[in-house]
Amino acid sequence: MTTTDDSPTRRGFLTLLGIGGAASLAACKRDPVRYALPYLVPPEEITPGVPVKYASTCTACPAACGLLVTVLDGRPVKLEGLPSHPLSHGGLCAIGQADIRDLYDSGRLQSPTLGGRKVSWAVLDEEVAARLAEIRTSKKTLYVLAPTLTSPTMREAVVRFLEPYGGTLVEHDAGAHRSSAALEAAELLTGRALLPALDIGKADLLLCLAADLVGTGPEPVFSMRALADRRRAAAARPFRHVQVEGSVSLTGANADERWPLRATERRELALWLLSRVAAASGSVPGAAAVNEALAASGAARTPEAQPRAEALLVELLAARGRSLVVSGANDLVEQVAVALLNSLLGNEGTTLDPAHPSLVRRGLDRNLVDFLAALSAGTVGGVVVLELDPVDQLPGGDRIADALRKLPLSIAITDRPTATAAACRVVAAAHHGLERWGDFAPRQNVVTLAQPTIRPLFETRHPGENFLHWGGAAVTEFRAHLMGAWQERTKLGLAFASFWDGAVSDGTAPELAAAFAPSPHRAGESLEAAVRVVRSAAPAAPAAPADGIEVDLIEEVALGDGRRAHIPWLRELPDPLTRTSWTPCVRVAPERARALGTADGDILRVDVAGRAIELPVRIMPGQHPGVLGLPVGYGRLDGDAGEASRNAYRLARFEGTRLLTGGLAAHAVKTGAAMSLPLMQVESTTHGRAIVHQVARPDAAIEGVEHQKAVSLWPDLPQSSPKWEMVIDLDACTGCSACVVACQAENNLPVVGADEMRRNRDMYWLRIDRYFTGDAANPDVLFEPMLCQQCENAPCETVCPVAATVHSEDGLNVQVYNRCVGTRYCANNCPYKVRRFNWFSHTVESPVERLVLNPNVVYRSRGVMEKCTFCVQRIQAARIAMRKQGHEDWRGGDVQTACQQTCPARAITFGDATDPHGEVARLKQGPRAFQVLAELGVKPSVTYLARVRNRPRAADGSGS
Amino acid sequence: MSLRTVLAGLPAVLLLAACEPTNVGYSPDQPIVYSHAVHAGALKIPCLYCHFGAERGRYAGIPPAQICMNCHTQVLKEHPEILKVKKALAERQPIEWVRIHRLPDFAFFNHSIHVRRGVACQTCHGEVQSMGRVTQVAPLTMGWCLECHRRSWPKAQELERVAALNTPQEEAAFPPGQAPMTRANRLTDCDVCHH
Repeated sequence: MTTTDDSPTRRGFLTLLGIGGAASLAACKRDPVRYALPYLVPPEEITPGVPVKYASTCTACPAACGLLVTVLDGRPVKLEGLPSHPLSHGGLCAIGQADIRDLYDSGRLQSPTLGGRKVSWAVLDEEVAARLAEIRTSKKTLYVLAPTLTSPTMREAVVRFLEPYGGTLVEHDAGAHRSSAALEAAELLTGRALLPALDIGKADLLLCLAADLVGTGPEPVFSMRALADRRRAAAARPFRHVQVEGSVSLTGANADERWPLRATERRELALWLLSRVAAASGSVPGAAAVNEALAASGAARTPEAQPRAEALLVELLAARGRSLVVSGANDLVEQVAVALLNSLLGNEGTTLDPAHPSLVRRGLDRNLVDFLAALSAGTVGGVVVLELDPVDQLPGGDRIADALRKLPLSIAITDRPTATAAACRVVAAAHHGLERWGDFAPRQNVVTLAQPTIRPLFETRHPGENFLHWGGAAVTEFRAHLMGAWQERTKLGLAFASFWDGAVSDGTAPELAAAFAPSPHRAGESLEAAVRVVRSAAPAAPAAPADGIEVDLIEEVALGDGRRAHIPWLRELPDPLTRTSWTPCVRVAPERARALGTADGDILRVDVAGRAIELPVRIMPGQHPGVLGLPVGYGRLDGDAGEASRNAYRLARFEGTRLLTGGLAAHAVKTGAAMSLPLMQVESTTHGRAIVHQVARPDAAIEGVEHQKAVSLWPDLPQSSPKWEMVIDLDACTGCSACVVACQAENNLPVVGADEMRRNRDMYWLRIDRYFTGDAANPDVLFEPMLCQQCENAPCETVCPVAATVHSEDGLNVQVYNRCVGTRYCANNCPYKVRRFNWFSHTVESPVERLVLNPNVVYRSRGVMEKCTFCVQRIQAARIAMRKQGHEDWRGGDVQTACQQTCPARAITFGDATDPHGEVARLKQGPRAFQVLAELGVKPSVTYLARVRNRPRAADGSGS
Repeated sequence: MSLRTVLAGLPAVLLLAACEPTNVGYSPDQPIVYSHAVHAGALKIPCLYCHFGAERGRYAGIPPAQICMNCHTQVLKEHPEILKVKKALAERQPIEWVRIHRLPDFAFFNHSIHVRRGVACQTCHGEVQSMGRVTQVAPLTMGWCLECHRRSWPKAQELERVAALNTPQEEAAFPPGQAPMTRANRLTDCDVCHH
């Protein structure tokens, strides 16, 4: 631009000033002096910058999935599933993925305390020993309250510690899903209070009564894999999954058919099905007795929706020996009915494996009730609470806290401050799971090992070592104790040392399981006892009148029982069903919300037997109109102020020997207050656009989609090899969100907080869109993982003024952070809305917390656009590894993206699409394959496979 | 902007170009007076003997003090500079070397692939075997990296030099002159280094 007047302008002056300034800066600037401190003596396995992977076991829940821990320069940076694990098969759930963030959490306990003061372990041990001596001379008892101990050696250490005092180990599974009644039913029928292992692979019909197998059940990773594998085999052998539940669970959302029923109606249905199956099973042993008992009790009433129940019965009878009925209810009658149903249908030994039961749930409510009774009766001398928070997670927690405070000896073994730890005099700070040795037996025939992958960061101790110290064991170091215990069990003698190294390195060994002593199996008059339960079953009185409200306490996929509720990755993780983040919500059916006059975000006051809780409403289609779903896990002592009032555990109730968390009669009123919900997704439907598809059969083609060749204004890109593409099978995807957290861990995604979420400024590179379709009251739920589609004709690339987003020869759409100036044109032009802008600098200030960052991925700064890269750092690492070996061609299957690796259902396939024999090329040819917004002609590199919803025509569209 | 202001700005732009902000010539004092000219030059110790990380992974690494003592428990045991190393080991105090070659955090450079593909250490680090005190000779800027990544490379004489300075195993694994650069492995895509 030239001006007619040649006099200096303001703009010209500033230009000169700027250039001069830059020049003088450049001339003077010298980087600050930096130092490099090499090792004096290098550790054997560590080469700086070269990752080492160690097998271990996840300790985030008792399911004990296999871990492969990536350790870089001496610190774990990423958790992955261990592919050789016999149950988890390389999958890992969202909570397991986030466990690494917990290791580096600045809120962890950093040293043991005594009466709130920091002390040394010697002082703490001395104090405990003195108190234990007192208990031994007094007539009082000693209790250890623990979650289900999947570790045989840990359990043994606790039992041995308790022996001299005649003490009791009480196992209690925190959380909204109670397995107590199921355990008791199993005890009646098999003599062992252990859940039979499910073999979904052998089932053609899965009937779940309020059992959340894939979401927050006892072994979600195992169940997800089994269910996905079974669905994949459905082309050859049809499979149906029917879910009966009041509150929508993730399992229900994935079912072929959902039937919303209240708790009492569900129990009635189970008994009715049992009576009809018994009537139709004349020759099966026990059928007559069951029939007679049910006739005597009169509890097997015909359900209201008789045609639907009849249809279900026909299906069940048709799939004798190939069906599987599972209940998640904490109701002995329903559980016994289900056990008898499986027995009469001949499922035992086929779809149910009672010989190798699951050991991940041992919590019997009756033991907990006995303990609490003893605690309030004052006969308890000492309590050790091991990694549980009963004060926060049981009704009447305040009374438990008071009782703990009055005890001569109260010990909390925990890795972070909890409400229970605050009430205990002795707080034994515990190692994080990644700092521990351990063994785990999630099944009678599966034993795995855990090895520490980092030295303890703080002055903490292995939880098991406490019992060894206090029990006066000769060997108090847990690793030595563990090795000694297995040396004894395996009887390998001198060969043990080399065997052990191999077993630790692999994470498991068959010899371990072989040496693991099975608990005795008692058979006999089992059926009679079970029939007695059925006979005594009174017609259940509904908790609430037909138009009344009852509350089901539920668990969210992200928080589970709430033990990990402090991890920001999990707090921000949007719920797959409600799509809310950071906020507990009451899930209300649309019909009920209308009756209450509430909309999303209106605060509802829910009153259960005089205890009230106030939470915002989230309208949840598919919810039974009479049932409110309330998530537990929020309301921790160390959370933000006022959280205690959001603690839904307070609404649970002890009834007899059982802790009831569902079917609680309630009263709900609108308070008039409202809040804006942090939502990840605003839309609930596709508004008729062909964005996501479901089909009726695995081999059916998608209807209404024309596979036309789109006209393109761009020239075709030169075909190069490799070309990275992804296929996502929506029939396998359950929406569990493990991939979302895996992506966050791998790619250093920041946490933005509730306020930014409200402004739709989330930073997720991968999200799971959820769509409702069909009947508005009980819709089908469709999950669709959405990430950068790496379009061949990428609309983002054409609008970037600085070429910060360009195409690579591998077919990747590359984002160059150091070039980006933050115009955000690309995000505006992206049809999939998968680009994320750094509105703020999310620098991690804590020196401990920043250890979790992946050093192979840039931590993006403020003002920069970012998005999914198909884990390009892994592609480049694989390329380097390949070319170092002298290969020039990709040999296929070398690269796994973080989301693909963790997926428990194996829904994601990634690879070179130009390889004609590759899995990607094969899956893309299938009839269910489609691309989102294919009509735009952007040629996305992600292909989806449509969901299969196997529904007989008669049940289609029928409501509850 | 008028023609006059453009002309007035020109010297400043030229100044900026001349003083490209690189660390070429940076040659700081090190805590231990160590001569590459003696070790790599006169004694012909292969680079990878001490910088073993260069063939394994991302970082070439500065050798751990223990590596020095592999020889110096026998040779020049009482040399004042060796006594410093001994003291560091005895007191478990790592030696604070001053870092010379440094890339920005958003650029990922992997030593091992370059070594394996026959790029001589000298290509980026200069004639280290004749340096008494190490000096940075290459600007290590993106344009400078791309000079190689854009052309058919490596040259034969460079390969010979790698062979001369690398270990015998290294030489066996990578015979000189057998790594032709093709279009596909020029690797000029942004994501090769920026991710």
